[in-house]
Amino acid sequence: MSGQIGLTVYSADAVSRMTTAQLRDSLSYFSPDVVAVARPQHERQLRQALSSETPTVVTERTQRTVQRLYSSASVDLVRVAGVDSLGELVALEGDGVSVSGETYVLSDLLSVDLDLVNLETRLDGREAYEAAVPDDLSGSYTHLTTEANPGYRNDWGSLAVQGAMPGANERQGQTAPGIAHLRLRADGVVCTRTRSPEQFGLRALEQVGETRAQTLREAGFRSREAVAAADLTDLRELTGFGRETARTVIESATATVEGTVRRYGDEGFPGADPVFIDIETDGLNPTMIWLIGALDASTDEYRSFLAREEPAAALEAFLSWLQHTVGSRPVVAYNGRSFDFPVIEEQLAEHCPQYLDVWDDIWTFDPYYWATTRDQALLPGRTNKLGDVAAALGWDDAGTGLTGAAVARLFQRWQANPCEATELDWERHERYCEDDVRALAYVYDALAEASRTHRAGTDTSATGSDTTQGQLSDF
Amino acid sequence: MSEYTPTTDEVLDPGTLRESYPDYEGQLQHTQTLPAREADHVPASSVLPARLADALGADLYSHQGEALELLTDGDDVTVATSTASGKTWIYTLYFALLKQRNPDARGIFLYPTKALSADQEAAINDLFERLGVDATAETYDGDTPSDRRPLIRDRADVVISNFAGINVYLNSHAKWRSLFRDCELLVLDESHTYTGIHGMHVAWTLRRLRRLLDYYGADPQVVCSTATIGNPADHSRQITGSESAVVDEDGSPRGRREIAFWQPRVTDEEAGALTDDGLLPAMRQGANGETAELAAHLGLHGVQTLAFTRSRQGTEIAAKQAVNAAREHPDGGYLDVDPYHAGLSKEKRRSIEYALKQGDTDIVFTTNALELGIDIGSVDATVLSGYPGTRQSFWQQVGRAGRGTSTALSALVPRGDAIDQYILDNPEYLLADDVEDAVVDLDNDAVYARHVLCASAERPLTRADAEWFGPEDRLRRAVEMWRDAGQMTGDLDRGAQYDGPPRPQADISMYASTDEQYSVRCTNGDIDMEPLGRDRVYREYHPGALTLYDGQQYEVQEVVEDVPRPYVELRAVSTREYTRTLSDKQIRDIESQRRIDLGGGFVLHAGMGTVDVHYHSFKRIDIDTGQPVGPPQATGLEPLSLRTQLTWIRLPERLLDRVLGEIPDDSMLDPPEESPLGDQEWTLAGGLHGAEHGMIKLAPLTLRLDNSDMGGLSTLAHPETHSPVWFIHDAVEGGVGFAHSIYDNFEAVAAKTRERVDSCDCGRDEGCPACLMSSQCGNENEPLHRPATTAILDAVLDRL
Repeated sequence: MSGQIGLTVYSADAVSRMTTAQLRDSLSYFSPDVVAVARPQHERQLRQALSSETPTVVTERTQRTVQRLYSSASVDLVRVAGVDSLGELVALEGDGVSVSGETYVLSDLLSVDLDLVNLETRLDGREAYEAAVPDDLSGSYTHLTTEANPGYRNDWGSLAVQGAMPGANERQGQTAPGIAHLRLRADGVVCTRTRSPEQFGLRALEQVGETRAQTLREAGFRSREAVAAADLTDLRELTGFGRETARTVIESATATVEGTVRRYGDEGFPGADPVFIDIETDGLNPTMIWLIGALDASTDEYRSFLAREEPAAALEAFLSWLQHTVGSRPVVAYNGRSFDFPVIEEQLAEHCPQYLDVWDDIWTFDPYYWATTRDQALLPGRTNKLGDVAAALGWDDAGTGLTGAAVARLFQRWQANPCEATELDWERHERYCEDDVRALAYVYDALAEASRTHRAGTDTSATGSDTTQGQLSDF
Repeated sequence: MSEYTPTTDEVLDPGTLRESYPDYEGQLQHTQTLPAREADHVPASSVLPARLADALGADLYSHQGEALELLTDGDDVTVATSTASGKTWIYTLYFALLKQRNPDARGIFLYPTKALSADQEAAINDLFERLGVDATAETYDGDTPSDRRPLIRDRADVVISNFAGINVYLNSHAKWRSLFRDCELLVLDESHTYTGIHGMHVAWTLRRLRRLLDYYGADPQVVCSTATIGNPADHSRQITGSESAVVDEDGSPRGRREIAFWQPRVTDEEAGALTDDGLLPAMRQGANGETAELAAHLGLHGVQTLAFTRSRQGTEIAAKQAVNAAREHPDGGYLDVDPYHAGLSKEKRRSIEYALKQGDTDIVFTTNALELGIDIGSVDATVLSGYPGTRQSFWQQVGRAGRGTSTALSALVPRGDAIDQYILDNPEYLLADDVEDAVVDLDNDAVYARHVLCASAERPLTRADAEWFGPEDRLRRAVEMWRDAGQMTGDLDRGAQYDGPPRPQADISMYASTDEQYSVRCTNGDIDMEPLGRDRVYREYHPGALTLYDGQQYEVQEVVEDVPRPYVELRAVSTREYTRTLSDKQIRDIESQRRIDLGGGFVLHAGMGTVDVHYHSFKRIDIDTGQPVGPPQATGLEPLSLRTQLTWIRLPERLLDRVLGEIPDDSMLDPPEESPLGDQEWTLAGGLHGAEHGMIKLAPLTLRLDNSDMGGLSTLAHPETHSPVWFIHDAVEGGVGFAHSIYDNFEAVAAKTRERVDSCDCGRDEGCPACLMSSQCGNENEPLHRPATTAILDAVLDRL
């Protein structure tokens, strides 16, 4: 089993809100193998932005036969427009579509209907769809539907259904941004990232909303590269750009284009060699930490603490190790302030309170919080997520494509029914975790090494020092 | 204002009124006097340890003693005594007692509003101090600064909050573990407010809270404090999930209370020749205007007055009217008058509360936002513009006047409406013992399911959780639904866990099943206004609507919805016009769940259906002439759809012949030109429409319902029942059990409606606001026919 397909799906709202430059930027960001849009008229707009031979698919267009969109080793992506053509899947299996990996069938034929009043969820279209899927298929199939959000995944009897369209189920209280990128893997796992149009083109720059983006375009600055090369005085002449804004916009463009960190201050930035960590849990409100990766920067020793079943085993081993290792050095986790640190504390309180005091004494540091909320540095990258920042700084990620949510889900599946079929490839997950920890160390080092830039007109010590930012979960 | 301040007795003495009230024409129809009540005391030492009793230095009222005794025995207690009877003391004293036994003991006290929390925090801490108890109570809600939060969570002995807050905080319960572990007392103050939809959310949030308290090893006692309701024990059981001993023998003293029934003056010029009996309510001034005049009169005589109106707009308009009335009054002068409602910014509200307490304002016009126990000191009088819909609410509002043993004055100014006129004619109805029940429908799956989802995010759900969310079969179905919807993983055997976007608690609106909040902006100035719910936006803030806010008129420019945070854009204007919104309604996809076949083609159903309400257009109306300005204009808004509970009665076609047979030809209604219906059909439609209106309007006489939470529809031929039919439905997604309770009590409601409609003094075939007409009708009260209504109800009652 090998290969994977990158499918980028644009909602109709997203395409109609994006400029060609933004579309181009988003395509270079996702580098999809296949691009899907909902409406025929959007395909033309997309084609203008797509220079390559990348295949496109229009999900609302009718089509009589199965459309083969892409193959990558043992992964295939096909599209059906009506249940009648599902029968052709048998013929495809004889015609080169892999039966050893996974075949993804994209359609708008299945939609998820949540009925709170009757306490049931229905998959509309299921009966006809199921009846039309041939019984004698040998391969493994996942059915992608544009009538459900990208995060949606459920097995309806024999049908593995995965959502693909941002904003498809907004009435279920889920609001999804406009563009989804799905990594379709050979093991049937789909990893999704969703982004909004505002994260591309000039809009991706700090302090640039639609109005300033428009002003920049009209003044001839059509790309971030152009803005990065701009003179401060040029930008200051534009409506809506004060000295400080102009400077921030240029710095933000430079950071992104050059893939460097712009650092404003060093307030509270630890000096000593830290211990970098990352945790894997069973969900967002975790009941268990099952994997902790730790990298000791002083020795470059990497440690992995794994617990498959015993809720506290990984944590206990980690704390026992940390207690003797860390001393007065900091423990660093990306977004740790919102997730890793409180989760560790909660889990300690629940499972091994004897370590609470040890943990309380440890110096924790969150470079994400430090850079963004405390406003100490400008990070490159389309988003401030670790993967994006590390990649923008030149980190070559191992390309696992697994998101935290997907990993948590895999773990939950195994936990609910531990058996061979659900068993995780533990070593592989340990490698993924290590990769993330090393990416964090890379970003941290970039922050540590970045030269300080004095921000225009502001005294750096005044920014953020008295800002108290509550936890995201505070009300 | 005159230097001499008369007593209330003098101000409202009919003789004085004739002399001092401008153009007095006998509005004061009668008064009821409730005698003073003596206090019944018990020594504090009989129920409290000596140290606390000594420190308290006062006797307790008998009900306080009884409640403390029950609590000491380990019971959960519901205290249902009057406003200002010292209910706060009961749970605060008991907490002090717990704290003496266990210095680590902590408590969670929950209030229905933030305003009340702030108010009670001070009262509780004062009592702790008086008792010499080393304990503090501190409020933790959306307004608490983030640097105080960890301190309160970890240290405050009593944490004061509200259910909207608890709903959200439960997501990060680990941060609360020390409070949850040591919690020995849980207090729900003003628990009678937890009814209907809101009550359901509270009940399920409380189960989520108790489940986590249990997880951390706490099993606190629960105290509910409530106004008088018909079913205190049952209501507390629904809300809290446990049995509770009821204390309702009030031992507090009360001053003499005068209740005046004040019929608005006649304004219709043609009414001059008519006797009192011949006057129609429609010929009188509206209740709000009359309330404004009466309040102005009281205010000018130094009587500080709190006046209750039924809507936010009502408070704004009445405040203006009262200022004008004071200016035109023979004793003419200036009055400080403020509107008060939940749409006002917090600062504005706090300043009005303070002004009331300090006696710095003469009159405050308020919605029921000031019905609850916020300490606003003692106002001298309350005036109610219209009957508030329930006796429970009526007594709460009346109880706001004259705290302590001073004589208190209250006046009810009836609207021209069925219930109000009934009460004016039958004031003994108010004094009857049976106060309404508080309804909480735990069977509502739409609300239940959302809380199950939140609970699964807080801790994985297992079969043991059937204790809180059972029966197990229901919980299993909810888990399966969420799993199929991709928002949960696992099952009850292994643990079902939330798997959707972060913080599902944010999707819960404590005040309705679904409720998107729209912020308010102003294009030509600043406006500081609380966000509006979607229904209110469509009904009152559609494009083109004119609205008053804090004394300023605004016109709605735009409703922007296709953005993550929807908003309404207003422009400050100044016109002599107001707007009236027109709507129409369809009911489709009906599904019968229960039915009673009454024979002869009569079938009564309870079930579900989809209600589409379309606020399609509006009229601008001249304030001075009451005449429309120009033709109706479109709002440009889509219909609002909701899937909800219905009750309907299907009628046989041939019933129509029988009904027509009882109606003389000259009584038939003339259909308007554009109607395809003939005289007979139009008249019959008026009968069905009248039966629907009448039952909705009169249902609160039998059941605890707010008829604004219900709606109806009648038609001679519904495409799904293929028959004449009328529907009564709940006005929120999923339903709250109101329409279904009419199904369960159909005969009683129908009989009372028939009696009221038939005996209405109006004597008009088209009825009047006292019998058939409704201010909520989207059809401008057409057609309505009283004899046809009576005949149809007779035919139905014959079958029951």
